[in-house]
Amino acid sequence: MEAATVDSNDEVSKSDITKGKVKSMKNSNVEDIATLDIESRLSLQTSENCPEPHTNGLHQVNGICDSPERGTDAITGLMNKTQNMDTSHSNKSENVGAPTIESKDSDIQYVSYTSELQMPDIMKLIQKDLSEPYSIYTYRYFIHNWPKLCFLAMHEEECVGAIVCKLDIHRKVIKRGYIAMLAVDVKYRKRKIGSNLVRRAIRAMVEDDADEVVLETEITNRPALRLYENLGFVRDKRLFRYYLNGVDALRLKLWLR
Amino acid sequence: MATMAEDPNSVDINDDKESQIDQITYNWTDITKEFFDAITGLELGELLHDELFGLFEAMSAIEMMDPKMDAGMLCNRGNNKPYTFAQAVESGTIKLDNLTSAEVIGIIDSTYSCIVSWLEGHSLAQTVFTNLYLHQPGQIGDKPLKTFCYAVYKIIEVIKDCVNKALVFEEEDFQSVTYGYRLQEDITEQRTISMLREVEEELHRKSRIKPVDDETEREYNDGLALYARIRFTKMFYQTLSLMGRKEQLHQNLTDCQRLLSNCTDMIQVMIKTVNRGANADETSNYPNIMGFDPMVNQRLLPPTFPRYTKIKPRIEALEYIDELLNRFKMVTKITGYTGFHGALDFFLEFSRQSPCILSRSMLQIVYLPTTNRVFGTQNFMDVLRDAARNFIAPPALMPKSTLLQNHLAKEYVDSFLIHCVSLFASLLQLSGHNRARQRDKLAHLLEDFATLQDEAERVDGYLHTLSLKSDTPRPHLACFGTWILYHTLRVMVMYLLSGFELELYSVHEYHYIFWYLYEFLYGWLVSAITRADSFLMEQDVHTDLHKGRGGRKNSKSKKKKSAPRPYNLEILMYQAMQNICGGYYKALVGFRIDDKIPLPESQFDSERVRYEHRLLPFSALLTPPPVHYQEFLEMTNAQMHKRNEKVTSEMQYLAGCRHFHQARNMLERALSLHPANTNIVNEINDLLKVSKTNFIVLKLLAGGHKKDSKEPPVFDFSSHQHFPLIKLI
Repeated sequence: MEAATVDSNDEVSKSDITKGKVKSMKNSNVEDIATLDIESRLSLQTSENCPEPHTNGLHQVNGICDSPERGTDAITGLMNKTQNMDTSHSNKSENVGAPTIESKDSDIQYVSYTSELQMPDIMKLIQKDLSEPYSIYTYRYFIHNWPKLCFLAMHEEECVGAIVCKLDIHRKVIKRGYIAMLAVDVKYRKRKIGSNLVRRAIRAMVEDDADEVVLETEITNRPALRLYENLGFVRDKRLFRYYLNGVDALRLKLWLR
Repeated sequence: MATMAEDPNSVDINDDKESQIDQITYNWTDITKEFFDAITGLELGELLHDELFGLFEAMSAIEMMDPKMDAGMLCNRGNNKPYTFAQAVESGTIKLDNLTSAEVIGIIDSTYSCIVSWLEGHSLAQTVFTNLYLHQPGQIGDKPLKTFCYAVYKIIEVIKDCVNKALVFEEEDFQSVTYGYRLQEDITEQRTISMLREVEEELHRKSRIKPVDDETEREYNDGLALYARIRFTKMFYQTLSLMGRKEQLHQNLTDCQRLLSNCTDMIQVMIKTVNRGANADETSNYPNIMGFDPMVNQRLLPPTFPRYTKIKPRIEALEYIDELLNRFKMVTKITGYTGFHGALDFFLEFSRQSPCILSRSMLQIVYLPTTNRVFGTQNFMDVLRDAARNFIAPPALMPKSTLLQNHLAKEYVDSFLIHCVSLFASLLQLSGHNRARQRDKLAHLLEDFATLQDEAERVDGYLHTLSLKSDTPRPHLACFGTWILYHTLRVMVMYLLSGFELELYSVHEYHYIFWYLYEFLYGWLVSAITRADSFLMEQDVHTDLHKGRGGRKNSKSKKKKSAPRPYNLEILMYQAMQNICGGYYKALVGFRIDDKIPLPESQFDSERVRYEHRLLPFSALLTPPPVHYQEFLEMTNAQMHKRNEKVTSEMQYLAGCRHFHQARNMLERALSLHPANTNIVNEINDLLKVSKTNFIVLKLLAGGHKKDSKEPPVFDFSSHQHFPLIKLI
């Protein structure tokens, strides 16, 4: 089931951008902005009330999110996982325990972000199956602020995978990395490109003294959960009805110390 | 009669305002060329980036004129252009009079669909107020529909008040913004009800004319179906209004029980007659009947991607309300719990069913309508004092005790109880939140428990010294302390178990979670209760000694003190769960030995780090002291490598097997005590199933079954939300 793999998964997280956007502010900033009333969330003026609305990121930006058929199975809820999604990443578990594997496919090159010229490729890749796109500003927010945390997987001249992250101080004490988007071209899946991109990003964050790395994903997104849990992420929190379609999200977290 | 209030959030819905906007004359200048000329001076990737333009702004930004992002593009296009109320009337899209009963039924049912969707966390603008009839109910000629529309406003208002008062919602649960929709003239509750009653009676009168042919038969039945809806609406509104009232709470709730039972009768009729509504057979994500427009309030929403909310189908909404009525009936039963411990258990049990925001809120405001008054009458502090007395009979709280004649002692005890009020009120309130949020809140609550424990111990210490100097010296150490410890431990258990329920733990983490529960938490709980029990016994002895002077008040515990000790059942339950957890732990050690549990790759993963973060909330507490990873490691290694003996997985499975067997015995003994509470009986039966099944599975494993398979076992939580069935594939 190709359709069910990593980057088509962007769809839901994307499309939920609005709810999520507003949401993640509150979700993660509960203490700081407890006084913010609901009304204000609904207008853009919110940002003025919220001194640092982006600290905690729009976690739902995270690219790893599946359910291509959102809407239909969106509300089916927790226990109901689409089986065919497992298979798309079934090779993941086989390779557990072999941490050093870069791609066996030596034809895939991993490169750091270098210039705006790569932006269209990244956007194209991530946007591919989205029903509701991110605006250019969202990409720029991450990539211009943290160019070193953006990596591309190249097959010859073609960009076949990308990861976009950020790293900043959370609640004044924790240096928190955040994986905002991850996508792999449908033709290049099952080759551990996603895992390799995540590993590179984490290593870059470790070099920058990250204490932890987080992201959000739908609870129904088995491939993403498997990918991240294989790398040591745990499910730190459940975010009830995080997405507009009523599906819960999980905040995944990798504690580095 | 309903109009938009003048606030910045409510945009032009009114016609007069719309025409104002039409009059604005724009003077656009095309700067495309200038713009492209100007940007040639920029380097590749050069950006003007304002510091204040952060992620929130970036994500809120839309690229204008892109139909995928710009909601306005959709709103203004062709057939999608939404009507205002007036336009819809003018064009004949909606009728104000001469509606058929079937149409009114359809509109009413669809409106309930919208109300239910609102209760599930969506905005009013995208649910209830997509019903154009609600925009100007005063203009409606059809009397049942008009009256219903007024009632909907009142129902929304009372629900909103109830939820806002209980404060157990987060933004994912409930949105109370009304977007400026309100009734212009204030119609009182009485007036609303009498209007509904009038319509109800009118419909009832019509139903006396018996049908003569097929046509009139259909009308007759439609009339009955409509009657049921109006009658339901009246009583549903009355129920909501009565339940949330803090005066004469007990009397109100008795009335509510009657109303609820009538509501149930009517909702059953509504469910049966749902197909009498117009367009009931069509399925869509949105009310398909005259008067509803999903896009009508698009402009009230933040500028973002065009979308609309999926509205529950009529039949599902009615069934939801039927369930809601049952939850309300359950809520009214709280009045039977006069003791705090019973009430707390009731709250926790209620929450386990993941009830909706409205019933959750209702339970809160029925039990504690004001911060300090249980059921609006009893002082919460007295209720807690009774709870402590019944739990462990602290000498200072016993009748005839002279300890509190000491001013300082009284001051200390009062201050302690005041702090208890605030902590236990938080605990009750916490249980009203959605299950995912509860976990976070439990972790924070443990910090408050730590503070209270400290205070309890100091108060105990003071009273102890005082008591030993008195005429009737009795030890007072660890009285309040044990009571608070008991609750602390319960919260700790809840915290760890909630991780299973929320699917937060990976299988490779289970072993330390179960280990903690098995080796420590349940054991400590049992010893806390045992200590309380021995205090109670001592108090009995003391009372017997002073017979004629003291009463036997302490024994009037909720646990019904008959022949056996009051805590027998509770102790058995905790011991059973301790064994169940022990069983899992041993089984998991066995799986480890057999290499059946896949582990994350080691580059970034560290079990120690995971363990420490998972148990971090416990580090705030002094009692019980946090158990460190090192200890877990040593004890687990001791399990896996015994001196002079080769440890096999079979030995672990066998040990686990014994635990499940013991759990089963305890549960059966618990059942033989005939617990009065059906929830406990159900719980015992669920746990019995888990214990029996896992016993068999582990027995098979101990016999070498599937020894060579590396296929990971499956942990199936379908029988119990915390304790899974182990399955081998």
